[in-house]
Amino acid sequence: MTATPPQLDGGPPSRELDDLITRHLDGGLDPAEQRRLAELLAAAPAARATLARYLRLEAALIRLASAGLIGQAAGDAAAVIPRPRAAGGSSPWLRPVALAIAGGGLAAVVIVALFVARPAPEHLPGGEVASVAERWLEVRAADAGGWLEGHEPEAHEPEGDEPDAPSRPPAWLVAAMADELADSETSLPEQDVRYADRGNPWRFHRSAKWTKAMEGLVHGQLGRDNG
Amino acid sequence: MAACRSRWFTVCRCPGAAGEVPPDSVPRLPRPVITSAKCVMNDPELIRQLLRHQGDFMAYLMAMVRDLDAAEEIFQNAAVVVMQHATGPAAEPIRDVRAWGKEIVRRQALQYLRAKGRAARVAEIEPELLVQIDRAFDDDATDPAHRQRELDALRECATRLPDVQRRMVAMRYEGRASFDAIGTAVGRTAAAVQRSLSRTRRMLHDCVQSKLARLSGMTP
Repeated sequence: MTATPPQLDGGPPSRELDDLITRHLDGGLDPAEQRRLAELLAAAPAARATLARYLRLEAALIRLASAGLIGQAAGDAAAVIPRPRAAGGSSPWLRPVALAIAGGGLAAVVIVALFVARPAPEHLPGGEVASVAERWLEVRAADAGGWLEGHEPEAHEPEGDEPDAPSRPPAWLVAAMADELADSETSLPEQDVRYADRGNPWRFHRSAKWTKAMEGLVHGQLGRDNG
Repeated sequence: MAACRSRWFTVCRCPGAAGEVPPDSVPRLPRPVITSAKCVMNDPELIRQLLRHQGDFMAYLMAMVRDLDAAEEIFQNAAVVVMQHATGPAAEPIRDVRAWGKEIVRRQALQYLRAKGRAARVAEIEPELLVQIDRAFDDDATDPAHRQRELDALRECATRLPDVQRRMVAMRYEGRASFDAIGTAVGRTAAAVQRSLSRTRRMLHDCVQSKLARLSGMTP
């Protein structure tokens, strides 16, 4: 048998419900075990409350991960996971410069798409996506702390890895912006079109270029707002 | 309030604080409720609400599809649908963004599972378990302050994980790595990684609960 896992702060003992829930979240339950979990959940509100706690934990993990705060949580460089976006060995000043250029380029394209290529549409969902982006910038600037409310960067947190992670725009917004552009009459360069997922017209965000461009645009805008 | 839609975004405010209808009669039905056909939630508030609940929706989706990439894709689709509904010509005020958004997320997830589940290698889920996940999500009325305390506690607990476990969690959640890829990186089998991540999640859960219990003056 496997050894008993170490406990953090003397947590409660092993429980069937906890075991099934945690394994389910990793896709580790077979159909019979899934039905058993459903049975336990149906039998008691307390069991559903336990599942809700695990879902909140999952949500918190996702939030921390989005901010890059898990891998560097202990400030241990050896434990930090190299992420693809940081790979490449580029010099420290190259990325901000590239982001600024990309952001500026995207801003120009977006402005052209919104105000020239499709003048004064009435109730076009895509056009309103652009306004959502604008409002998002305002909301973020107003919130100042970003979505990770209460998070104060600690002194030992390395600043070079993901300095802008907590201010990253939500991926769905990036996707929606790109989709709007794709839906407009403005044609996209070949190298950008190839990033689109033709099986899912709402999905255009897998392009690291677009994501970085949006980051550059957003952070440039935030910098001006805050300055 | 008169209808006042600008070219790019809705500028009307619903009665009540911050543009959201007061929750005195918030229905459990995850449908938008019309209080005034001319009143539409304004965009900043909608975005704020979506951002506030993004983690909840992602966790709910994780429970349904157990795949972060799939969950993200579904959430994106759902967010766009929410924006379209909330800012389109027939926009209606939203009383309960969490409930309404969750219903859209759920439908998008079911659609995704039907259309792409097998192709995307998303494991099937028993219908009765889906029902219970729904109930757990719907019944969870944890206030934002408590969620923030949980988040703070989790951050502390994560620092106390053994290095290899923290690495695996980071690879899984930050790097979206597969069990196979994580296993290759840490010298374990995919199955061992999966088991270890499940144990780690439970350790984190217990750690968070223990910290919260101490904070509230109770002995765990």
